[in-house]
Amino acid sequence: MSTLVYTLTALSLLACATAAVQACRQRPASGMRFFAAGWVLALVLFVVNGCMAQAMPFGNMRHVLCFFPLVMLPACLYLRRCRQLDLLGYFASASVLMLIGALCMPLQAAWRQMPALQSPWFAPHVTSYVIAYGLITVSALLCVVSYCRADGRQDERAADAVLRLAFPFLTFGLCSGAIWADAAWGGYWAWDIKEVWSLITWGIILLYFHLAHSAAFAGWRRPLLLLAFAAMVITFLVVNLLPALDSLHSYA
Amino acid sequence: MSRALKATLMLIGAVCVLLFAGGFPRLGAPDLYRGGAMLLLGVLAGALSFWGAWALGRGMRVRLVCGMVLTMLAIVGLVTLFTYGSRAIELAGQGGAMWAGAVGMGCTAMVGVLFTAVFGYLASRVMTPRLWLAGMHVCVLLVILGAYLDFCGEEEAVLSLPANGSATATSVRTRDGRELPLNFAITVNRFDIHYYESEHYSIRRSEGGGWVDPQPLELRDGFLCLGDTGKWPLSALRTAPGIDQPFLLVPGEPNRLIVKDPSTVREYAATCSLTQQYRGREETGQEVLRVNEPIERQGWVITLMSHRPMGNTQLVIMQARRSPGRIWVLAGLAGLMVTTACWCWGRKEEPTT
Repeated sequence: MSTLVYTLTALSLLACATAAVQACRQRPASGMRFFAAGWVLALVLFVVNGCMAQAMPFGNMRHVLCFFPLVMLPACLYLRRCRQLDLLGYFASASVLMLIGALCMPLQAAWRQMPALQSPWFAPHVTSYVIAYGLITVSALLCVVSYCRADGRQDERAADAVLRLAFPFLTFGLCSGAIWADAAWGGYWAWDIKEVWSLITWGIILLYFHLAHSAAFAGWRRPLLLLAFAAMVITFLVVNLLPALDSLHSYA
Repeated sequence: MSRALKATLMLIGAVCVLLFAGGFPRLGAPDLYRGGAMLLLGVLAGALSFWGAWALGRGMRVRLVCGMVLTMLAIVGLVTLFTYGSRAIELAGQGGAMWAGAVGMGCTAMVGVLFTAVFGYLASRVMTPRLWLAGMHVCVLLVILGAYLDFCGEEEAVLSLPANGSATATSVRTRDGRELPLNFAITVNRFDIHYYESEHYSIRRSEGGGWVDPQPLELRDGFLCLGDTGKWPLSALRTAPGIDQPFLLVPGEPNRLIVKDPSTVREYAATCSLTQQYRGREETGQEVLRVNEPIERQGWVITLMSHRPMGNTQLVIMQARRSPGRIWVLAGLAGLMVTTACWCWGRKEEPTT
């Protein structure tokens, strides 16, 4: 079973990487086909993970990282259709980053859902954070590219649109987590380190949106976006991977 | 750029820095979050949120109030739908006479759908993108207000009761030693634990009075195998009083032990009996307290936290909490989810001044 999981992850990674390359070569149709193939492989991987865990496969970091490509394609299509933004290369690259992470994680096939995780909030809470984190990653990639290009205003505007799509998901994740904690832990806020870092990420993005009203601080927006991405990485990865940190979210 | 916006930028920055100071490299300063600086920043954040809502709603404040009331009613509908809908499914799953209850719950859930549809539609007609943004500020204000009410008036205590009905609690003792009446009596009559099926075994060695270095064993044709180096029959594992899992001391190697790995707890629930006065009479009811499903009674929220063995029964550990700001915070959080989505994903924003 572990061979199947790693093979599917590697194939999905390969498909997404090819999609990113094709997008860079200005071959969007071919790129989209590869991205769709990567999405189908990620869907099969998600089902296999679910069968092994006998629950929604959001139990560990590898499960969650494998879920990222599944939300990236719909988000990419939404932005193309509703916002006229063709960001295939960025979404495929973000998927590649997540799948590389998934390949580095241990399998942990015997994961079992503990009592506190058996809540109707579990799936929407994790899903909303996955969508938000994926979109913030795309936004950060656009921001980096905008620094590299002579006229990066178009990329900056695209980053803004992607972040605007991500922010409600991030807010939903934060608020639903607090409401869930109120039922599970007897308090909506416990100053747990993961909560604190997710609030920092939310606060930085809030600051970014407030700066939209000010021409004087226009130059601060891109560094703030990158800072929000860094805070997101700490929330998602560092807090869980550093063994010295005691967290109520240690199962995540 | 207005001075209030500059103040807001500085305030959010200061809050982030303060959170960062407490949260990096590890959570070592919880007192920092409850300290004077954070309290002051909270007051300022509340004031600026109010100002933000006031300024954004200029000329449309009545509409903002109406829109927020309609939004809250739509949220109430949504909560009703999920609460009663899930209970209806649960009762229907029990079958038999419970179907009548399930139908009743289902009807209430449908009322929730109606509330959400009608008030949600009206709210979407009343609110503009600018008003949704103002609504976000109102919701942040609600959360801050609730948090301050809790900071000033929250009571919290640990409530531990044996699961055999031998003890009843009518009051709780807080951490600072105050005795607070619950205004109802609670007894735990039963405690159920369910485990996941486990078929995992490991071999461990003795060190310093404990069994360490577990190595997983593979189950093949009724034998537990450690690669090709060892093979033991599963039927040789025995149970003993006081030891939860079947085990085997490896023959000829008393410092090695084969043991079935403990099963993971799937869920646990305490069946409680709650007695309270109602119009001069005592009323007793049974409630099942589960993880994620607290009981609310007389202003107290009882949450199931944990359990541990006590003689031949279990000691059920609960948390009793009375928080005056909880409802404000929950309303603010629910409102924030809706208003943020409507502002970010709604109609294109009109030009702001």
